[in-house]
Amino acid sequence: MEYSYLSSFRERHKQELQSAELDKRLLELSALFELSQLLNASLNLKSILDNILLIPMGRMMISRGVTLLKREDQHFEFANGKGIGKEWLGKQIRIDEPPLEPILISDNERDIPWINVFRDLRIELILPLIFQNEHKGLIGFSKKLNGQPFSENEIDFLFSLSNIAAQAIENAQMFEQLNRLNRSLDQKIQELNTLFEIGKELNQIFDEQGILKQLSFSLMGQMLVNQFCIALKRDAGWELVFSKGSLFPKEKCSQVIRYCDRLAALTEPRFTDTDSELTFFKDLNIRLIVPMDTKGQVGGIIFLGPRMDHKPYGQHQLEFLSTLANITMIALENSRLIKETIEKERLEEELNIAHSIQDRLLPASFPHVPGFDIHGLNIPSKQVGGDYFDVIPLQDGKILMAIADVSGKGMPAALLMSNLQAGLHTLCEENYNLAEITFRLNNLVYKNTSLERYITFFLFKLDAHSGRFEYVNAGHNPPYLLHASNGALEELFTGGIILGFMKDAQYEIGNGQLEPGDFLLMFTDGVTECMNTDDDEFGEQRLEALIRREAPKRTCQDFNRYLVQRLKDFAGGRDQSDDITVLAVKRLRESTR
Amino acid sequence: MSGFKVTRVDKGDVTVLYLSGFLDAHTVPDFEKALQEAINEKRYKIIVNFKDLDYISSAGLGVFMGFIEEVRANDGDIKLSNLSPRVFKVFDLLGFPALFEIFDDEEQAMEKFLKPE
Repeated sequence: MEYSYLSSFRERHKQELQSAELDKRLLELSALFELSQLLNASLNLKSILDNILLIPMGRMMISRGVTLLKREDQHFEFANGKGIGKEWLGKQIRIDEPPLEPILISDNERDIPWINVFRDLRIELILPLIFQNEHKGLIGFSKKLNGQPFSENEIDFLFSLSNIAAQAIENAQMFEQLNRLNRSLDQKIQELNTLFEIGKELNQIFDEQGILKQLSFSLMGQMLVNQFCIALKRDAGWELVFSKGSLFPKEKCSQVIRYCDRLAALTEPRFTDTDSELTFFKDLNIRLIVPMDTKGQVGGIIFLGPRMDHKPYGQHQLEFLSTLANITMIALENSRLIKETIEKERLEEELNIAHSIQDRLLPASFPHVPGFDIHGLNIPSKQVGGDYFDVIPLQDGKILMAIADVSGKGMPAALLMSNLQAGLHTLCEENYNLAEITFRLNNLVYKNTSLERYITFFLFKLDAHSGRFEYVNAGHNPPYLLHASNGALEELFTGGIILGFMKDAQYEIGNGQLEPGDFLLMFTDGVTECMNTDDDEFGEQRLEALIRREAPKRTCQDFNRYLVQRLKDFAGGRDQSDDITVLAVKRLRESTR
Repeated sequence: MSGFKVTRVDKGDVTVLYLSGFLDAHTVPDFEKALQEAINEKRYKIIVNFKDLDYISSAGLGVFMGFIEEVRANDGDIKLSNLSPRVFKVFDLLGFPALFEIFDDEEQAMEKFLKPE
């Protein structure tokens, strides 16, 4: 194909081609033409560089050739060489005033460093590679093997060749640059895809370890790092939540944790080797510290070790890491909030159950007992305090009453209360006296609870015919008995230790007599320990005064409601922290019967 | 979503994992589990055959990074084979060819395990 032009040229110019000189010239032209086609058809820099040297070397019997390409400033790099040592490739030399025309080294007597380099390499002819007035590099050839000097024509030929080559090199370089740009664009797209994907995935994961795992996959896949650890800031301080790789065993990470507070002001990733403050981290094999931002604060930190390919982290990777760290932090924050919400809902549900347990255990109505007025009231606090009271008419006609305060709140208190209620209802119809009932209840509670759980308990049995009563007080606030005859207030404290504290504890029975007009108030500490906004307690004194003043003129129900209202007034808007329970008994006067 | 499947075949000392479908952040735990199981059985010579894998994301590549240290510490390796051009491009973009041996087909990878130079 390449020769068709040449043969037709010959055909048309037969006569003129007699001269051998012209024929040779034509051959050279055809070679240039051939080379031009070859070079411009290729965008492969390596093959272009090879052809630039090999074609002339073959045609002119040259044993050595080099190609240098211009890099930054005045530096030229050995990009290709034939017949010279491989060690030259990649080397750079400084050439301050590169030639614009071909030069012959043997004509050049000057002692210039770069010329000396070529002289040492036994390069004779140097040709510039110039494209659009810009120096792209140099080509050098040694002397011809036949010892003949380069002729004018030959130099012209090689100079033409170098001009064509410069164009081809420029094209190939442009092409390479385009490829590089394309590749970095592809990398950017890959990064964005990763961020997009992990963002989508994180929205579906609500447990912390699951989120951190996704983060670790992205870090490892995208950053080629499998040495890292992650710390998160909790209410109680920094905590190591994830670690990967042999450089970060647990004990080492705990050292990192101690210094996390120093990093709380970081706003962007930091290299440990460029920052003297971070030497400590550098010594722990940490190369890069990436803060995880939550609402303008550092909520977590990713510590990255060296990359597996030992390359440094690139500037554009820092952006990726920052974004990755921040979306992970958002997901962690969301999962925490969701967990809190679920926990809160669970607690509320639990409290609702506790409420309904308490509700069912308390008597819904009070038995009608001739000659007596009985009324009890429970105002549960939000957390369910575990108060209990009961009124049980016994088969022998006597009335059993109980009031109790279970330690703790919520579900555990409600369950223990339920235990107590069941035990009491079982035991009360057995042939046991109050001390024996209490003895057994104590052992029941002791067996079923840990030491920090206990019950204060007051048990009261009334003979409605005579007004005689017995009671046992197991560590409960002593109920007040208001004697109508003399206005004296008696406290009923005979009994023993609180339930659940000591195995086989013994209890004593107290007794007494309710005369007409006498009033007994059993209550829990929710009454006396009711707090106002000044942190004052309602206290015994106020209660005593209120009983003396109000009990004689009110029915039990009336009194209880009045007391509760007074407590509410006293608290003055402060939340009720404990259950309020009152159980009142009044022996009616003959006239009102 | 297209599914992801990993099938394990033990061929002598070498465990081959065949992947198909989409390996992304969502399906990565399945792949991790399969690799973890092999490693738990102390099978450290692993070939991952990508013949039927349509897509891999960097999370998928993360799984390899997560195990390679342990595997090589036990004189094993994870070698990759039969990558489609699309899948290979992701490996290439992220610089994996410098860290992992990638083969055109499974036999070459197997040979490398059996006759290391």
